[in-house]
Order: sequence, then C-alpha cells, then structure tokens
Amino acid sequence: MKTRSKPPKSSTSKEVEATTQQTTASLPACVDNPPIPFVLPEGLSENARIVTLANPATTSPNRYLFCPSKGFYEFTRIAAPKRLPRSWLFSPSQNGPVDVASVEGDCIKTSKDEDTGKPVPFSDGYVTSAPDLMIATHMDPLFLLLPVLAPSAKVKAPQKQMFLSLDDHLEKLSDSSRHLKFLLNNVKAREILEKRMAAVCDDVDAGGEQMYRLSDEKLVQELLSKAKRMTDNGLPASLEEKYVRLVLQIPVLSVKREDSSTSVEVSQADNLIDTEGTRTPSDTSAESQLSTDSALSTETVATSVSISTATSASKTPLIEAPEGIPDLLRLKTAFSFILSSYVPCHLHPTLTSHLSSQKAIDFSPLDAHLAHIASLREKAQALRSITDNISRKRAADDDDEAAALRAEKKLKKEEEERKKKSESRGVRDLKKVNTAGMKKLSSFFTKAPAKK
Amino acid sequence: MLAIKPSSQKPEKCSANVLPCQIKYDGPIEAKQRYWKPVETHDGSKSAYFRGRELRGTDVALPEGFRGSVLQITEKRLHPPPADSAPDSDEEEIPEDIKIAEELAAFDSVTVWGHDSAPSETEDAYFKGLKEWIAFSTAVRDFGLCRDRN
Repeated sequence: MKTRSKPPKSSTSKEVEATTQQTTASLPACVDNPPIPFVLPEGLSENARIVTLANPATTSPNRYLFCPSKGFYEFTRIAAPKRLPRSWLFSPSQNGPVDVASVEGDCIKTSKDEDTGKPVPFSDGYVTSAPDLMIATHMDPLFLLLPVLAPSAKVKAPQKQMFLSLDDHLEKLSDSSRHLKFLLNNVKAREILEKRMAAVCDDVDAGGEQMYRLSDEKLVQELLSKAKRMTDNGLPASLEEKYVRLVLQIPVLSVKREDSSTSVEVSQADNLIDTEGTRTPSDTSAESQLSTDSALSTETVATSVSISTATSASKTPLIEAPEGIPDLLRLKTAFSFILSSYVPCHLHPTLTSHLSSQKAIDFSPLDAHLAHIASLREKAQALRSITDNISRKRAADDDDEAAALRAEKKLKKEEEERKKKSESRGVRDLKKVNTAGMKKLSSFFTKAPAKK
Repeated sequence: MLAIKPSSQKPEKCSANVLPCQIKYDGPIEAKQRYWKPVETHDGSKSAYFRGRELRGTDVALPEGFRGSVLQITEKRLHPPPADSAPDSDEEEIPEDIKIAEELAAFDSVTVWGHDSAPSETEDAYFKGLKEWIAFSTAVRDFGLCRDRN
C-alpha cells in the first residue's frame, strides 16, 4: 500500500528566519551593557552620586541619587507591562529644517567613522530592547532614617526605646550599608538627615548634645501633613479613579422592566462605572439608551426594585458622596500610599491606630459612609443573584452545596439507567408476568409452623 | 556607586522614542531618515512608518527642572575621590568603588508611539510616569525641603 506523502515542509518560516539572520549578521553583536535612559533633575552637582540602598519599606535594594546641593532622589523604574512590548529607539533629534542637514551630515560622518574604526556616535541612532525608563524624583530622607529610628525588634517592647544622639543613630544607619556610610561622610547629607530626624523625634538636651527618640505622634503628624499636601493638588487621575471614585460608587438598583420595551430609570449616577463588572445578559437593550458609559450596571428585575434612590438622590453627579467624604478618602489614600511605599511594615499598625485616634482629622464619617456603601453593595449582590435565578433558571452555580447535591442526583440517575440496560431479556420479560396469584418466594423459606 | 560624567564625546541631543514593539537588539544603529522619519500630522501628533506600518506618536515633554539623559554604566573607576565629598573624615573607608556612568546623549522629550493611533494619555505607563508621578512625588517630598528652608 502506498502511504501518503508527507506534506511539504513549511519553508516560509525557515526563510523568514534566514532573512532575519542575514540582516542581524550585518549588525555588530548586541551590546552587553546597554545604556539606560534616565530622567534626572537639572543642575546636578559634580559630586552627585547614584547609590544603592535598602528600600525602607521593602528592604530590597533600590537606587537613590544624592546630590549635595539638591538633596535626595529616588529612582522609579517605568516599564511597559508585559503584554505591551516596547523598545527604545534613539534617533537623531530633528527640530526643524536646520537639523535635517545636520542629520545628513551625520550619516556621512558615520560612514567615515566606520572606515576609521571609530565607534558610531550615540546620537546617530541606538536601539535598546529593554523599555525601561528611570525617573529620579524627590524623596524625603526621613524615610531612609525610619528603619534605624524604629528597628523592627522594638515592636515587642515599645517602652524601652532609648534616646540616642544623632551620631549614634547615624552610626547604626551607616552600619546597615556601605553606600550609606559613604553618604554620611558628606556634611551636607548629615545636616539634611539631622533636620529630618528632629522633625519626627522627641528630643532632649543631654549635656550639650541633642538626643533623639522617635515619636509616633510626631511621625503621624508629619506623614499626615504630607498626605494633605499630596491631596491639595489633587491625586493623580489614575489613583483618583481607582481609590476614590470606584470606592465611593454606589450600586445602581433602581430599574424597572416592562415586558418588551426595557425602560431604565437612570438616576444621576449613570456616568459612573460598574464595579462588579458582571452584567445580566438582557441589559444590552438598555445599554443603547445610555449615552455615556456602557459599563453601567443595570439590574433587570421582573419586579421593580428601588432601594438606593433615597440615598443617591442628593449626590453630586461626579462622585456621589456627602460633602467632605471624598476629601477624607483622598487623604486616607495618600496616607496609605506613603505607608506602603516608604514606611517599614512593622510600623504600619501603630501608625494607623494613631491616625484613627487623631483629633485634627476625624475619619469616622468616612468609615461610616464606607460601611454604608458596603451594605448597599451586599444588597445589590443579593438582588443580583435573585435576578440571575430568574433569568437563567440555574444561576446558583456559585452555590457549592447546591451544585454538589445536583451532581449527586445526576450520578444516581445515571447508575440506575446503567443497571436497567445491563439486565437480560429474560429478566425483563419475567418482570411483566402477573404474579398476583402466585406464592411469594420468601414464603418457602419461613419456619414451617405445621410441623408437629 | 555611580558618578555621572559626560562622555568623552560631547553628549548630543537626541530624540527618545518608545516604539510599540520589541526589538531584540541592543546597540548602535543608523536611524537614517530613510528608515525613520517622523512627520508632524495636522492634528498635532506625529506619524512615522516603521517597516511599513504606520505609527502614531505623542510627545511628552519632561517636566520643568528635569532633563533626560542616556547613561551607560561603565567599568571605569572614578579614582581620585573629590575632596568635597569626604571633607574631614580620616577614616580609611574612602576608596569606595565609584564607577562612572557616562552620559551618552540628552533628550528633553519622549515620544510614545502606538500602532495606528497615539497611545492614550491616561493609560500609558510612560505618560503616567512622566506627568503624574513626578508631580505627585514632589508633593510627597515637598514638605521637608520647604520647611527646612523657612
């Protein structure tokens, strides 16, 4: 028998490979240590240094920049998410017609340079595959001090905190890292650090020398004023969206449905975005009526539901919350942002408890409001599951117990069916026999009473 | 530890582009006008063709007080420690390894490119980083310096 011939090998992929290899072959091999684009502050002094220090919050190494005249900077790496491949291309700058000529000139120059074996100047063009961008941003050196001011072991015995002189504190600091030691040799750095330390510490004068001890109260004050400053200019749009608007959003429940034409009662909240993200399948028709965001969660309920109308009626159109609540939430967001990105974890519980006991700012209305929203959400969730039951008949998939029960029943049924099929024809036929007049088989095996 | 020094060739201005694709290559190339020629379009964004595909880009200017520079971390040592950084310490730990980060080029804006349409300003990481994060982090820090000065 003749076997079928194998399909012809796909040569296209190979060809492509070959061509790419060809093109890369004409390029020199990859540079081992590609340059990285940085965004640095202007006017750095000669003595500015990039140092590697432990990140105060995570204790993993991180890069910082210290400039004697400008202060401390931290580097933030910006990288594109994995699903969006990016790369850098540095090309000759082209600002207007003058540059075009110079670009042409450059090209000629490079060919000459190559002839003479000189390296091609960077500005002719450069590609780096890593899309990272390092941005240097201001940083409060206070955060570098925190791990020393509040070593983690101290959490167990908060009373035993000693007053120490600046030198002692810095000594501890420099022991933790060689780079820090180098920094501390700089007079300017010491000055800055001392000022920052004084801002968050109780100090006593001990024989002409100032002694410092970390004060939780002062630290909270300091962080809180920072948080206030951050919110003064408004939070960045992405933070605002995620932590303020979405959190304060009230689920929309007031929807009526009449048989064919879906009429949706949209309150003022219709330009808000859905939090739960789940949607009943039948609200597509309703969606067309909404001019703004398509992601609005609409409830299609057979019986009309109106729960949240009373609360949502008095809200501002953008963020629906009572006066002052968004500001409080922003403040809290900023505060927790500082905590999570700069403050060692072991300090978090004490600081948050201090924060809630603050007199200057009362967070209790915010807490109350958040609890209120949470309860509303719960109700919405409950209603949603009812709706699902109606619209999909069997929507209780999430209910594990019910699912298990159903599975069991199904199994039983299947088993019976299998049994029935495996019966022989004879047995099946005998089942149809009228046994009404016959003795039961079991009667033959009872104790014989007549035997006497 | 790194010290920033301009490279032996004078660092030149270049334009930094974030391409919407990965190029698995690190190294110098000749970005000739023939292969890379961004053109301003009428709606203010930039347009360029890269291997036959149209890219749209938006410029992000660096915030005031910042400059872009491309640094190459080299193995060169900064041998003579500057007198100022270690003024009066007689300790022996001065010979700290200070490598030189050479500044190869400078840029003052970043062009972020997307396929067919310019990337959204609110979602793209580069926009957020350059605009939001710098302003925000300045606020985190601000308090310290301002009060120190007063």
